[in-house]
Amino acid sequence: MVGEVAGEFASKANSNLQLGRRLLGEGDTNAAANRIYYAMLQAAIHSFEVQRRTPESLKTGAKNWQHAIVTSNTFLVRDNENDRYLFQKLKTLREEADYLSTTVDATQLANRLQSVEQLIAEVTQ
Amino acid sequence: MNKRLLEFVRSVGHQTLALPYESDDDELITHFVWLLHISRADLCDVEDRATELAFRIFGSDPLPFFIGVATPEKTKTLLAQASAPLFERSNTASGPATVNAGVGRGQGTGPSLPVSVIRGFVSHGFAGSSNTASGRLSFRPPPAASRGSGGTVGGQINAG
Repeated sequence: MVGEVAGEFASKANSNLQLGRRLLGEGDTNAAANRIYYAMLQAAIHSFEVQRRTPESLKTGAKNWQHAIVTSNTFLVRDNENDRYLFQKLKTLREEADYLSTTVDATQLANRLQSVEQLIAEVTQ
Repeated sequence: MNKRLLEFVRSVGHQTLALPYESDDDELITHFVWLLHISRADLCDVEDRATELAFRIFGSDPLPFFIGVATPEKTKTLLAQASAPLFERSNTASGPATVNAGVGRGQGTGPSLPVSVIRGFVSHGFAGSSNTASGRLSFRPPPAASRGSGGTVGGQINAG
């Protein structure tokens, strides 16, 4: 059961990554930032579930994979402290994309894409 | 304002605009801190350094703010939005907006950087909450000669 659910998140992560790449190529940086962030979030959830972690195990009383729970435990995804930086940056871009009236800079997003691709490939393979 | 957030704003080495901000996804978030007047070529490097600094200051604690880096064009937009009358301000928001007239890039923590605290707070203005205008923002752009890469910036936002 855990494997099936985790597999779903891996699939979602890869779909969103593919879509994010396409949107970035088309110049829709806000939509791309949103999809790429979710791709990374879902890859992290996949990783946690493969590790048999639950929201409750990371935050007392938590029942769902809230963004804050995932992003504050990203070092557990690959046992890599640097992933904390990557999640923080993508989370910021997604926040700007979705909630601010400014537009995400394509250069910034493009420069982060390779790191996100590597993370997702590594985690969901 | 969070003491460590203020330490970050003071030591980041760039002109900054810190706006109280609430995130639907993360209740710990209290601010959106923008590093202003960053050239497009430097966006990622500056963001990397600022994020490293923030994590150094906060250690293992989650950051209570987002760090945005703004090109000169986006800086204009942000400052215009922050000073527009329709931009919502509230005394009930989570803290004051500040601008740090920072030292030159890479100089690390300055001894006593001028930080202007705006009386009356600037909320992010997207939640539709009712706010009262209190205090007026004005922006004095830095002298043209000081805007270059790595130079000193001297812009300042003041409560009017």
